[in-house]
Parts: sequence; C-alpha cells; structure tokens
Amino acid sequence: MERRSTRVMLAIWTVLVLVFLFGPILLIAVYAFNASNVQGWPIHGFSLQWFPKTWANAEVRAALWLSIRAGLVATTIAVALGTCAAFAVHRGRWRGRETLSFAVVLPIALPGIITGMALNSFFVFWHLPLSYWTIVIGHATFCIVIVYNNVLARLRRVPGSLAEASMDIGAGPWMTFRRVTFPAISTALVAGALLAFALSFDEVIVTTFTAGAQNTLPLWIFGAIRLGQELPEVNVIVLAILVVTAVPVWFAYRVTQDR
Amino acid sequence: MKMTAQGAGIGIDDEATGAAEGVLLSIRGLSKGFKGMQAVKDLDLDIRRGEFFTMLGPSGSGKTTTLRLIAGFERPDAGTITLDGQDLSRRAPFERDVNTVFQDYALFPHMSVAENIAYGLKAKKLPKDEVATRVAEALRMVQLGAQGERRPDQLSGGQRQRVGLARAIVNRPRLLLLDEPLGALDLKLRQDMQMELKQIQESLGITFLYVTHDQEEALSMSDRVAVFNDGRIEQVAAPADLYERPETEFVAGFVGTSSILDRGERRWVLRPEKLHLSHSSGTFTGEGWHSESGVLAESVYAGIFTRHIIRLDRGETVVAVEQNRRRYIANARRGAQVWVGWHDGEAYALKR
Repeated sequence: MERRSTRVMLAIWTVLVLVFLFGPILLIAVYAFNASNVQGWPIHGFSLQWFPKTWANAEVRAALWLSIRAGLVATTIAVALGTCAAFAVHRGRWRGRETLSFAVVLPIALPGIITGMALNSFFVFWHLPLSYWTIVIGHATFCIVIVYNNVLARLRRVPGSLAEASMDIGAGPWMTFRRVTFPAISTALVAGALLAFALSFDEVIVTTFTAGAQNTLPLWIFGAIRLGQELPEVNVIVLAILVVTAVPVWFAYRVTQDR
Repeated sequence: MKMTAQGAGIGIDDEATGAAEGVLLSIRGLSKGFKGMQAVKDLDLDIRRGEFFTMLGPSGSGKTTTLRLIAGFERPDAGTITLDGQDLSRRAPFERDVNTVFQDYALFPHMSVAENIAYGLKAKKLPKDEVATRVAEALRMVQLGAQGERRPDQLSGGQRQRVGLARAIVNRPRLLLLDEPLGALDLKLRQDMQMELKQIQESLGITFLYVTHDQEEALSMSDRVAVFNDGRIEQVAAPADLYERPETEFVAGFVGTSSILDRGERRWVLRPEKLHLSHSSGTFTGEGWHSESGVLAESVYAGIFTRHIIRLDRGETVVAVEQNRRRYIANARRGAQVWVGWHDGEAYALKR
C-alpha cells in the first residue's frame, strides 16, 4: 500500500533526478539569451542579440552546412546498408550469420576513440586525404548499427506468414516487398534514420579523427570552448543542436509507439 | 442389444474405386527434412475433387509441413505434388492455383478488410469493377458485408479469420489449404465456425485440405481424414471408419479414447461407449459376447453420461461410459464387483 508520504518522497526524488539530468542543459539554454558576453549568474538581462550574430558567423554556417550534409549522406548510406544487412541476417540460414550480426553491431560497442583512431590509421595507410567523405564514412560506421538494429527488431516481430500470405494469393517477390514487407518495416526504418541522423549530427570523437581542415558543428564548439572564444555563440549553437537532435528522437519515439 | 457397427461405414468407404479422374491433388514419395530431422517421410496421398479432406495428427507429425509443401512455402527434398496433372513441386507459391488460410490469420495490418481481400485480385491485374464485385461477394459470403472499411485490428478473432477465408476464396482456387484456422478461437466460436466452413465448402464446391490436431473437429467436418504420425500417414478413411475400424494402435489411441486389451488371438480396441456394465455375472452370455470381471474404481457423473473406470481382475484398467437415459440414480459404488461385456458386432479388434 502506497502511503501519502511515500508518494511525496517519490515526487521529490523524481524532480531531483530531472534537475540532475536537465539542469545543466537548461542553464545553457538560458545563457543563450544572455545580454552580456560574460557568463555569470544571474544573467545580465534578456536579449536575442546572439542569435543573428551567430547566424552571421561564416565559420558557424560552414560548419552547420557540413554537419547537415555529412549527417544526411551518412544516414542514407546507413539506411541502404543497414536494411540490407538486417534482411540478410533475418532471412538467411547461412553460416556466419551470427558473426556478421556481431560485426555490424560492434562499432557501437567500441569506444569512439578506437573507431576514430582505426579509421584514421586506415585512411593514412591508403594515403586518402581526410575530407568530407572520410567524415561521412566515419559516421556511417555507427549509423549503420542504429538502422540495422531497428529494422532487424521489427523484422523479428512481423510474422513470417504475412509475406507468405502475399505470395500465396498471387503476388510476386517485388509486390510482396512493396505492398506488405516495406509498409510493415517502414516506421522502424524512419525511426532508425532519424536516430542515425541525430547521432551523426552531434558526434565529436570519431569526427575528430576523420575530419581534415573542416569543422562540423560539434567540432567548432569544441574548438571554441578550448580557446575560450565566442562563448555566447556556443550557447546558441548548443541550443540549436539540442533542438535538431531532440526533434528527430522524439519523432522516432512517436512513430514506433503505435506498433 | 445387437447393433451393426459395420453399418456406419456404408457408402463412404470406396477406397477401392478411387478412380484417377476423381483425383485433384496427387502426392508421391514426398519427403522433407529440417536440420537432420525428417518431418515428412516418403508420403503418398490422393485428394479427390470437391472433398473436405483433413490431415489430423499431433504436433510435429508432419501435417503442417505437408501443407506448406503443397502451398509452396517449403521445397521438397524428394517427391512430386501434382494438381490436375500438373507438377507443382518446383513452382513458387504465386504460381500455384492453391490458396491458404493461416492459423494466425496473417492479415495485412495496414490495409482495410476490403483491401486485404482485393489484394490477390489486384496482383492478377483484374479490372477494377470486377475486383469490386468479387470483393463484395466474398464479404457477403463470410457475413462481413458491412465491415469492408475496417482495419483488421478492429475485428474480433472470429471476424479476422472470416477475412482470412474471404481473402483466399475470392481467388477461386482449385484447392484451399486451411492450417488450423480455428486454433486460436474459443470453443463456442470454433463450433459455429466449423458449421460455417462446412457450408461454404459445400456451396462453393472448392476442395478443402484442412489441418488440425483436434480429432473431434476432424471427425465432424471431413469427408475423409488422414491420420499423421511421425512424418507418415497411419490411415486414410472416412470419419466413421476411422473411429469404428482403426487400423493401428496409434489411430485407436489418437482418434477418440479406447482401452486396448490383448486377449489370445485378438487385440481389442474397446471404445468407452461400446463397453457394457453389469452387476451380475450372467448378463453377457450368448453368441458373440465377451465378458470379464473387475472392480469399479471410479464413477464420474458428467450430465449427459457417466464415466466408469473399472480395474479388471486380469490387471488392465478400462473406461466405460453409460448414457444417463433414465434419471441418474447413484447406485455405482466404488469398490463394487462388476462385469464388463462387449460384443463382436460392436467392438473392434486390431489385426495382429
């Protein structure tokens, strides 16, 4: 039996946990509206001045654009390869199936610094200059896992009899995929893609090792904080990244809920 | 007292006259194994045009694998499956004039009921108005006329299986395969659906090949039944023959209950309703009667009948049921000395 005091204690505890989780984030969000360029509490007044200033910064815009392009291409590659791998592992009865499954999932378990260093050594070994494409390849390694896991989990929940029923009443493999299998996995695919993009958009460690002269948005922040420069802009960008990653995650959560 | 058990099979058992032109589906030497386990072993089977044929057996006996081989979901290791003289065994499921009703319904969740039913017709690229006419007709046939726009998850289990049935029969297959279609339904609904399936089968004239592990369902619906055990067929017969004259001990045990007694030359299969009971030793005398003494171990009153369990003096335990035709008087006492009797014309002995 739950007593009133227990409920109150639980409520307080929940609030404390939420403050612990979101307090620092909230603080940065508030700083983004700080009138002064000196961070200090309480803020010196409310202002929107840092938003147009940040937007006017050419470096920031280049970094934002690079992050978006890298995220979109890495996600596209991940959707294509991750979905193929999920189908292969789900359908196939071949030897080495478990090994492949393990190999695909491994990058997410490895520390980013190891993946990053390995990729870096690989590119240097083959004399591949670090560029936009090396960033994309680096991001694709862990984006594939997200799509693969999502699609495979869905495939395992969709009864095999659906595809059989489709073939049974006269549909060939292509119609069966287009009209039955794809609709059944589509929300998992969308969720996987959104999560993959969110992950790519705020990735730092692997990117550090695979980016050449260019900066993605998180790398720019990292640099700015290290040099202690342009901190008000950093606050604005952090807020922006927060929104850009939280929205896809929230959508991903929503589309997978009704199934 | 004398009844003619043989009479039950009159006019049904025409195994000998199974003329080739009456055969729709013919299976020869069919084998299929999974990972070293042989699911179907060198199977031969003929199914006649227009009949309601049931494959009955416990789980793992090979009946579902046989059905999946006919549908084309599995490829045989050996053997042929011919439908109307054409070899099906190397064709894909969508190239076979055979449709399936699934145990889990397998309805497409993102399509409405009508879209589910229209799916096969659209795959065959039929004109739109013909698709609409046939879908409406199929919906009426399964008594879901007004439910076409609903989604499968808005329907009850029984309604879902009607959609599954409509989705299959709308294609007018030459053979309809039903894989335990009522397995997920509760008893009352099952019984209603059994009647309905039988009526639909008779009015359409489509040959039904039905898989079940429920012997009562098999007996009450089928024209003929094949009893599967361990990848082989033990017996193919009309329901009454299967029950009254089982050819093997497995069939005797799986179809209905029976007590088996070895007595000299004969191995008696004694159905509970064919055993007579008496309190005196002199009741079962005369031509064709057999009788043994025992002790009444248990009597269970079950409304329509009373079930008696008798421990014979020779060691075995037999079960007898008595219809409660007269008002039940509890005169059966545990431990009482009783005599059980059976008659040549009613009971059945296995070949030894």
